[in-house]
Amino acid sequence: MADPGPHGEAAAVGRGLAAWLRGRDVAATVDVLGRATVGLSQETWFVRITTETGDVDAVLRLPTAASGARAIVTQRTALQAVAGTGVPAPALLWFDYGDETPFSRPFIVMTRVTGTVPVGWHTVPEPARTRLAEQAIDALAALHRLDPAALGEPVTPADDLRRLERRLERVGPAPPIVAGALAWLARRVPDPPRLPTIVHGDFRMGNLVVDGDRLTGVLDWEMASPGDPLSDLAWCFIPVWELPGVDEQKLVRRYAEETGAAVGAERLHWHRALGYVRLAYYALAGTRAFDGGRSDDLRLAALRLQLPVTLDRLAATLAGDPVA
Amino acid sequence: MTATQEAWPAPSPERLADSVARLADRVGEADVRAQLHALSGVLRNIGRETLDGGTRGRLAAQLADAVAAGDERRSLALMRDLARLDRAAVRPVDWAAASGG
Repeated sequence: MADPGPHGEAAAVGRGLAAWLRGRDVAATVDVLGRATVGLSQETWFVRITTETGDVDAVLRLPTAASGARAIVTQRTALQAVAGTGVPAPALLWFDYGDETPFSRPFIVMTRVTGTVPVGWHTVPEPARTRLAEQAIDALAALHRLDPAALGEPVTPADDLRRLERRLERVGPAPPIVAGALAWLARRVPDPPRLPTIVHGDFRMGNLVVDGDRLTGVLDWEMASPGDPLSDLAWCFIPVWELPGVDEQKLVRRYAEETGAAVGAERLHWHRALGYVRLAYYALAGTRAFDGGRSDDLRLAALRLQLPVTLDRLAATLAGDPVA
Repeated sequence: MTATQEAWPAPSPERLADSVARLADRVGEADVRAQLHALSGVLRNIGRETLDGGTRGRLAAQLADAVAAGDERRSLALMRDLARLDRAAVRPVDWAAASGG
């Protein structure tokens, strides 16, 4: 938990949000309950907003330099697109795109979803793990049935690859295994999807809220865009840390039944390989941010130790070998 | 005293890592706990960069050549060898603790 005292950063956040609400004729007191420990791209505060009609537990999210203000716009658009659908997600409460907010940057406030966020599938014991994985696939299928038009122009697999190549160029020379993988990917770029869908962009256990064996919410919508649904499907099985320990083939079949769309094995494999390269990029970028003094987050210092694990899984995937 | 002697040896990184991990488990603040577990993972790996540099360099150079030549079959085999070598040198980080605290 963050320092809840009257003079700490948390107190300033609470006062700032209360002042902003007063400016919108919302008389409220804001108590800051804590700050999320996970998530490196957004600053996340848990708050309780008390008005004359009662208490609302909410989440205040502020962009960091890494995510930029655009992340707020994307989250707002995505949350509005999924509101009232079968996709469990926080409800949008307030947002401000301006820089002249009490926080000197844009922000978004959404309801706090009940439950906890497991680090990965592997931390959830059976049979809850299988039940949650099935619910996650159902939620993903529900998301992929929605109209993506509100989120802008579709992103093709070729766009995804180009974007990742540019990002990798910015963090320095690519490790030889990444260079080999990029060449492999470039030779096999799939056609644009016949039917682009809303792609969450970071759909994985670390962004799902669970309450017992019930999936209660999908978080972190700042990377949402219209695109190839199989990029989400591939990404949700990629081990950020440990192997998920779920029956991927069975879940892919379930997804195909839920969406009514065929899942091309080669296309899914391409997105899986791209996902591993993306994971490698995150490790490289985090390492560089720590080494360059732009962050003192020791998790970024440790990320370099996950890079060999990710690259080994990438090489195994490309060779068609089991991933360990 | 020669230049290579130490007046008093530093504790081993492994010992420090164990100690920091135990300290982390005593900390109430989740964010600090997560940071300490990450530090423990880093400490555990200090001084373990004992790869066979010659073998690694040779594999990396061969892989770069294979990629440049468009020899995909050879590239994939070399990627596999290089990745195994690099991964074997790393002691795992407890990411469940370092991520969530």
